Amino acid sequence: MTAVDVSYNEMTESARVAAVPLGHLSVETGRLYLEDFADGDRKITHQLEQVAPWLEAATKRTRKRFGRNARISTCFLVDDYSPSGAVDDQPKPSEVVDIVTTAADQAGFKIDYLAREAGCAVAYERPYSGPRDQSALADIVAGLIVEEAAVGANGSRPPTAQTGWLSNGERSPAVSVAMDAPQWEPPEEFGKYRHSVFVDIELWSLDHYQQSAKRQYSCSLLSAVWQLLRLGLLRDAGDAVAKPYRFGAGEGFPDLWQQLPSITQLTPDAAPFAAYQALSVLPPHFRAAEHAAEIIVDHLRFDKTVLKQTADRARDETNAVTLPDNPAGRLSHLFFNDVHVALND
Amino acid sequence: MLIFATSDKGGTGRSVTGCNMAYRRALQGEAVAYLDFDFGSPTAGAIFDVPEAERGVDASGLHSYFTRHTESQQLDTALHSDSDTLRDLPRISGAGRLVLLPGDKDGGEFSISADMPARCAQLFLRLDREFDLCVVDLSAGRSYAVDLVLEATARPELAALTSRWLVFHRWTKQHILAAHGLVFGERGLLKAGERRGHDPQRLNNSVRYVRTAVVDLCVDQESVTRPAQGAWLRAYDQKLREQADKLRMGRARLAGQIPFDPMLQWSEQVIDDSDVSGLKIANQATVQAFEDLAAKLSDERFWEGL
Amino acid sequence: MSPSTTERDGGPAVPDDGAQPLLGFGEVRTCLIQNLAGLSPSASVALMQLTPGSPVSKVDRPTRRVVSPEQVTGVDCRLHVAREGRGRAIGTVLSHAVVTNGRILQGTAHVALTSATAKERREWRHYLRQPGVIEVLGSPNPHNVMDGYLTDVSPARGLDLASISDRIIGEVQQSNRLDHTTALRTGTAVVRWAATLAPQPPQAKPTVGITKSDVPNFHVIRLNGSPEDLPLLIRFCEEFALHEWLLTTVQDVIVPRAETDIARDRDPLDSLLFALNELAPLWMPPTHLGPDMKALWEAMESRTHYSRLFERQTARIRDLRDQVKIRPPRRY
Repeated sequence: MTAVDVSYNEMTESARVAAVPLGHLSVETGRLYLEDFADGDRKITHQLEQVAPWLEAATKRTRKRFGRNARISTCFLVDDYSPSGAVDDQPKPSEVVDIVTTAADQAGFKIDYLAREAGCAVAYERPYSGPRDQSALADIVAGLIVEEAAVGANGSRPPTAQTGWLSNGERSPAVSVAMDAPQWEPPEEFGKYRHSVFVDIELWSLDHYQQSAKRQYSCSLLSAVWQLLRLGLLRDAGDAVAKPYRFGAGEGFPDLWQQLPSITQLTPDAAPFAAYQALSVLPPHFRAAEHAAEIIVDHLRFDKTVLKQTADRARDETNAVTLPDNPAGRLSHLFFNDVHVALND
Repeated sequence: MLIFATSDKGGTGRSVTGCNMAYRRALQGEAVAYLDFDFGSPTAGAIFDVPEAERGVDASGLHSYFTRHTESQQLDTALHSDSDTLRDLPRISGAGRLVLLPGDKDGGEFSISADMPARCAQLFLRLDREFDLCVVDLSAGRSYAVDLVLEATARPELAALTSRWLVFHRWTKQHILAAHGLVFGERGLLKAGERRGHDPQRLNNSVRYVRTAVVDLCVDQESVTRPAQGAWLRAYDQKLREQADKLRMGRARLAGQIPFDPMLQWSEQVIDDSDVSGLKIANQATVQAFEDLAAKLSDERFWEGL
Repeated sequence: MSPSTTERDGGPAVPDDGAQPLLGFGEVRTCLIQNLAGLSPSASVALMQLTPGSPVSKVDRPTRRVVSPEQVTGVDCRLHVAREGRGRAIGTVLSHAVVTNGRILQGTAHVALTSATAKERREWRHYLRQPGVIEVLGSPNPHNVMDGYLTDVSPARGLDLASISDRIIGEVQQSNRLDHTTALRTGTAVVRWAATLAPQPPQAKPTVGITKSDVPNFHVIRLNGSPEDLPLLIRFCEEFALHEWLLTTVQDVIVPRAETDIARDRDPLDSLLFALNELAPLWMPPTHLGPDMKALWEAMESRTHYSRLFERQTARIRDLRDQVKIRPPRRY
C-alpha cells in the first residue's frame, strides 16, 4: 500500500484586494460648507477664480513629466458633516451642482468630482444608500492608527489614541493643580531637530452625557480620510470604497442633500478620481487641519497589498512613475488667498 | 458576586469583619478574592497575616493597577500567609481558595482619570470569571475609591454581575447617623450613584448594614455587674433600634451584628473554631456572627426588594 | 513548512531591509468567554471584528476557529537581557484574539526580533512598514535576550507582551456583544514562548521544549525553527495553550469540585455536563495542519501524554455523571 499524500489548507480569506482606477494627478480646487451655497455662488466663484492659474500650472507640469495623456482630474469637497441648519433649509443637490459647474465654467475649467465630507465619515456608494452599501471610513482609518512609541513604552500601557487624541511627540506630564507643578516638563516632538513642533490632534469627541455616544469625528481625521480616498488607499475588507457615482442620463439628482453619494462624477469623460499624486489648492486657514491630516496619515499601517498594487501600477505606466514609499509623500498643498485690493471710488 | 464593604468612619472593624466573612465563604467551598481598595492605608495584608503585603506591596498592587497600568498581584493566602488558619485552608476538604489582591505601600488616594472606570470594570469582570465571590474593601467615608466603583458598576458590562453593598457602623447614636449620611446624605452613596447612572431605588435595595462592636447583653454578663447598669443598657439599646428603624436601617436591612470581642480589638486577624474551642481566646459568638454574615450574602430572600 | 498552514497573512513580516528575524517571542492567554451560551458562528465573527474594515478569518473544521485582525502596538523599550547589559528594542508588536467553538477566548501577542537597521531610532513610518518586527539596538547575544524575556517578572522590566495579550482579552470580554455571565468559574492560563530562528537545512524539523512554571497556570515554551516557521510556531503555542487549558480546567477545576459537591450532597451535574458537552469536543490536536505541526505535536505528546491524561479525566467525569444519575444528591 502506498502512503497517500494529503495536503490540508486552512486558508479561508483569500487576500483579495480590489484595485481602483488611478490617474496621475488629482487637484482639489476648493472646500466650502454646505451652508455657503445657500448664499449663492459668491464664495465658490472667488475660490475657483483664484485656483485657475495654479491648476493650469499643475496640469502643464504633470503633462510635461508624464506625457500629453497624463490623467488629471479635479474635485471639490463640500463640508456637510455637521450642518448647522435644518435638513429642509439645505440647498438641493441640483442647485449645488448648478452653482459648482457654472462657477467652474466661469473660471475656465471643469470640476470632475463633487464630494461630501459626511461621505468621508461614512461612505455612500449610491444615491439613497442604505446601511448595506455603506462603509464606516472614519472608523476604519481611526482603527489603522498606530501611535508612535515613546521612549520607554514597553507595551504595559494602552495606547492613548483610544482616548481620541494623537500626537507627534511626548506630552508634557499631566498636572492637575498649578501649585503642584514646580517640575514642569515641556512636551517633545519625536525625532525633533533641535527644537520641537509638538502637535496634539483631537481625532474625535464624544458626548459623555449619552451612554451610547457616537464619535463626532474631527475635520483633521475626516481630511485624512479624504486625502486617502484621493490616493486610492482605502479598502473595506478588501473592497474599494466610495467609488464615484455617475448619474445616468434620465436619472435626476435626489431631493435631499444627504441622499447624494459620497462622490458624484460631474463630467462624463473625467480621468480617474484617485491619483498617484494629490494636490490641494486651499485658502490658508485649512493649513492646521491639513497638517494634522498628514500626521495622521504618517501614523497609519497600510495594507501591504494595497501599497504594492499601487506601486506596481505606477511602475507599469508607459512613463513609469516611482512612488515614494510613504503615502504622505504623495500629498501636496498650496495655501493661497488673494489679499484684497482696495478700490477707490 | 461583588460585595462592596464600606463604613462611615474608621475603626468600625470593617476590614477584620470583611476578611473573616471572606474566609467563611472560602471554607464553604467558594473561590474568594479579597480586594484592598483602601488605597490610602491598605490593611487587609496585615489581617490575613501576609508579611509581604503587611502595609501593602512594593509593586503591582491595586493602586499601581490603576495608576501605572501594571497587572495586579494575586496572593493566595494559603501560600503567602503566616496564619495557620489560612495555611490550612487547602487541607480542608472541599474548601475554596482565598486570594488577596493587595494595595500598594505608599499608595495614597488618586483622582480618577477617564479610563479608570473601564479598567475597574475590566478587573471585576476578570475576577468574576475566576472567583465566586469578590469582597471589595473600600476605605472609610467618602473617597475616590467609592466613586470609582460606583462608576464602574454603572457600566453596561457589569449589569449581569450581582453587586451588593455592606455598610459597617458601630452601634452608637453618632455612628448610626454617620452611616445614614454616608448612604442617604447629599454627598452620599445613593446621590453619587444616581449621578453616575445608577437607579437610586435599585442601588438602595442592594445596601445592607452590619453593626459592629455590639455589646451583647446576654453574653457579656461579667461586664454588666450592677442591675441598674443592665436596665439602662437595655433601654438605650431599644432607643438605638428605634432610631435605626426610623432611618431605614432597621432589622430588615441588617445583614449582621458582630459582637464586641476583646481579642479582635487588639489583634485584627482571621479566626476559626480552634481559636474558640482550643485556645479559647475568641468568643464562639464572634465566629458565629461571621458565619451568619457570610451566609446572608447569598440569601436571596434577604436581598429581595423591600 | 508550507505556507498553507497559516490561516492568514498576519504573521510577522520579513523586514523590508531583508534582515532575517533571529528570535520570535510571544505570550498566549486562554480563558472562557464570559457569556452564558456558546457564541454562534456569526456572533463569534462579530466579536472578533476588532478592526473595522479588516477581515476576520474563520475556519469551521475540525473545530470552529475565528481569528481577529492583527492589532499593532508600538514599543521602544529596554530589553531585559540575561547575564549581560541591556539592549533596546524599537518596533511594533502584533496581537490578535481567537475564539474557538464560540466558547474559548485566546489573546496572543507576538513579535519577531531582528538586528537594528540603524544605530539610532528611525522615523516611525519605517517601523510601521514592518508590523510585528522589533529591531534590537546594541547587539546583545540572542540567547541572553531570550532567557531575559522568558524570566522577566511582573511588572515587566523589558518588553511587556503579557500586558498586551491581557489587554486584548480584557477588551473582548468587555464587548457589548457578550452578556458577561460566567458559565463556569475557571482561571486564565498563560503560555509564554520564545523561538530561536535560523535558516535550517532542508530536512530539519522545528523543535520544542516545555517547562511548567511554579506559578500556577503558567507555562514556558522554547522553540527552534527557521524564520519562515514563525507562523507555525505561533499556531503551535496557541494550540498547546488551548489544550493545556482544557486539561487543567477539567482536571483541577471540574473533577475536584464535582467530588466535593457529591461529598457535601450538592448537585455537580451542571459543570460535569458542561465539561462533557462543551469542553471535551474541543480536544482536537492540530496534527492536520501539516507534517511539521504533526511532528511538533507528536514530540510534545510523547513527553506529556496530554491526550491520554485528558481521556482519563473525561472518563472520570462520565463516571461521576453516572454516579450522580444513579444516586442523586439529597439537595438535587
